Amino acid sequence: MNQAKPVSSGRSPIILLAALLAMFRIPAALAQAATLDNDILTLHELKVDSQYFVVELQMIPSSEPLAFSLVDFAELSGPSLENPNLLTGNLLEIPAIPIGELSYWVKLRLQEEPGLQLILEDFGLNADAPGGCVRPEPDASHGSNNPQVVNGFSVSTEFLFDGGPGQDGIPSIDGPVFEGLPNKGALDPDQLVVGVKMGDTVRAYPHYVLDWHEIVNDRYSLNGEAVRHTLSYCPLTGSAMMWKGDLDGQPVEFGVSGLLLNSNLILYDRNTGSLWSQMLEQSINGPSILTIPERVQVIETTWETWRIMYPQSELLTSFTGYDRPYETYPYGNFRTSEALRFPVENSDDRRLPRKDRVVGINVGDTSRVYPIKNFGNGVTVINEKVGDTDVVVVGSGNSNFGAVYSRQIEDCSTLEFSAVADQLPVVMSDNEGNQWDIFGVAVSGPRIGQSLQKTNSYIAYWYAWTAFFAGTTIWE
Amino acid sequence: MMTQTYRLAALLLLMVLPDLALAATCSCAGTPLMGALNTSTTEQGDLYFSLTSEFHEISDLVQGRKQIDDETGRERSSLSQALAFSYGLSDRWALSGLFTYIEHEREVRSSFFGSKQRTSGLGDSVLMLRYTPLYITPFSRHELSLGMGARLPIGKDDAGGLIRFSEDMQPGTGAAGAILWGQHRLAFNQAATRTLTSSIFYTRNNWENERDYAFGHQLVAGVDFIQNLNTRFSYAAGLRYQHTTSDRRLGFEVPNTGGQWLDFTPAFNYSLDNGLDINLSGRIPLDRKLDGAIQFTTSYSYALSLTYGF
Repeated sequence: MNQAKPVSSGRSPIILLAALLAMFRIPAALAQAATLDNDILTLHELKVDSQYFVVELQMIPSSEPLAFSLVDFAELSGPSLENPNLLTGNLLEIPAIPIGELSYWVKLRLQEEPGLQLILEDFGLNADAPGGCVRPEPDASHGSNNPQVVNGFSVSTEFLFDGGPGQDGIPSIDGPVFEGLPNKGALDPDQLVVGVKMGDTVRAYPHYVLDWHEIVNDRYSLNGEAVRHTLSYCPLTGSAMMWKGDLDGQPVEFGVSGLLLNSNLILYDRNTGSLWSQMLEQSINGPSILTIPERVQVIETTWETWRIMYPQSELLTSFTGYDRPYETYPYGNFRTSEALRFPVENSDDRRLPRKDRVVGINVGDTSRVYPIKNFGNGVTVINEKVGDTDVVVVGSGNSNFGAVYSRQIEDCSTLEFSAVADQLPVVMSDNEGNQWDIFGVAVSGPRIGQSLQKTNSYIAYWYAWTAFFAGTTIWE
Repeated sequence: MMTQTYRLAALLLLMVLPDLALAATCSCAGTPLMGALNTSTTEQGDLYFSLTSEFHEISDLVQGRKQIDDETGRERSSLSQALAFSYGLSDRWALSGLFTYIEHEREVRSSFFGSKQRTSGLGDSVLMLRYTPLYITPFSRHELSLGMGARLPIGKDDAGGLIRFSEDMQPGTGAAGAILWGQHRLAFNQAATRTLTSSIFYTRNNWENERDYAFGHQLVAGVDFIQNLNTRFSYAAGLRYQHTTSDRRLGFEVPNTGGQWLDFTPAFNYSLDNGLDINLSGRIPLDRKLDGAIQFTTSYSYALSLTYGF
């Protein structure tokens, strides 16, 4: 959680490949820890425990994700480089591969089945490379970067309440059961779902189940490894998040604490008992205080829209092990009325109806929301600056979704986007001719495979957004 | 005299009935006050004190009328201690009062870290003026009493410190309420050793506490058959109907609050020579129809009461 990288990572083997091809012109520099010549990657010095090796890897043609096979290796008598390549467990870290004017760091994961392979896991530009550009990491905090801790809390306790059910009184789903390839009628078309796409796995978490459980401790298979992720949804504030389930390198699950801040879910982690504000996406009390979870982009939309986007999506079922009247919304007319369930800050900010769904973004102290209904029919794309960040906002009123990404890409250039209609999940294209899906991934064009940088943004009810982020502006 | 009395009773009912039509639901987590209020018939100068300890288990998870499994193992209970008095201002007028001390407890047994919470403190108080135009005498087998009063929010309603508890875990409501009360006793014999008592108790909660919260209006109607076996021992069996409207915050209904309950209410009373009465009573749910999706509601309750008259 909250692990900074030298520069932002990308996941495009194509870009790497393109860059690798440029290596034709560069002679192998023996002083480098690694060099690439055609499809041969040479690790001039690889440290494995206390031993050192020279290793030659060969790129496997058409592999996706990019993979290398072992060609040859020999043990070295000792270290000669200050910064050698490193194999720790099954992770191989290459600090620098010079490619043209640029230098990349690369992470490969060792996979023994089927056959010994090294799979590209992550890579990025080295900041100190000549001519390299460092795209700034987004400010991870919603609001103040340095909140004052008073009485053990990093937030004001004025609007902190015990909601009534008690810790785990609303039980999280810890063994979710999904329906694979559900038919269209599995859910009412207008029902909202929280959609997640990770690797090849696409899942939808319908509100009607989340309303009763609020947290799903789930696992996703990434590079053959089951990785914990926690999806949370607060029915009172209409906000959904997914966080990677590890805390200081330890797997972690979250539960419903029974507490609310500004009527919004407070989670607790089952490792340390720390409290985490869902909408602040930060621990606000306990041993993990101020820790920011690693976030995963989710898309909240209707089942109908999600099915059009990802017909292969799995659907979370109500086989939860709990006896709950899932067919009934648990909060009466709450989601359509102006009612408040608990006192919240700025409750008199009525610029929008309280339960209007907005997609909001925080950049430093600047906060801005985009009402979903204002996006109108079709797909709307907005290129603008929020705080010091160039963002692209994409949304649709009738298809009921909204998302915000940074327009600055890894090589520091800024793209201009325009809407793409009727091609869901493709929702926008840019001035370079790339097409991008709703998760901000280029699906065609020269940047295919690249991802737009995630921002501090999510969908919530208006009253909740303005309760947390006073002074927010509204896109009209 | 009878006609005037029944007009008064009818007026009281008319004040109550419009709210029945508007009624919604109830969480029933509030502390019951009526059971502990001393409404003994008093003559001028009579003074009664009673001390009631009532335990209230509120752990049934109910959807409408259907009880559903609560796999979380949630246990919720309240224990109230009530000191009540009744003083005869004249042969027809009396003043009743009630002071309470409340303890709430909540535990979620499935909770990962074992969640158990307790709150306690002074609860609400009640002050009521009663008028008894009709007494049971050798010449009349009817007794009628009418009362009017207020629930006074002198209790603690900010339990929890940094993290305030929800309203149902607070000892006091934090808001005043208006109370109307009526009771009719019918004696089946001249010695009044067998009586049928019908009562109605209505609390109107128009006022919000400082967190903009108002509990629902509450109507409790009961009928009890009481049999004196001898001069010391009597028993009672009754039915109690409760109808509570939804709680409100900022004027909006709070979901999953309010409803209707029908309980069986047995009681036993033993009188000692020295003027001390010991009363044991209980409440067993017969039927309930709760508003909203699900609610935790009363599983049972029982009370032990000691009454002393001067």
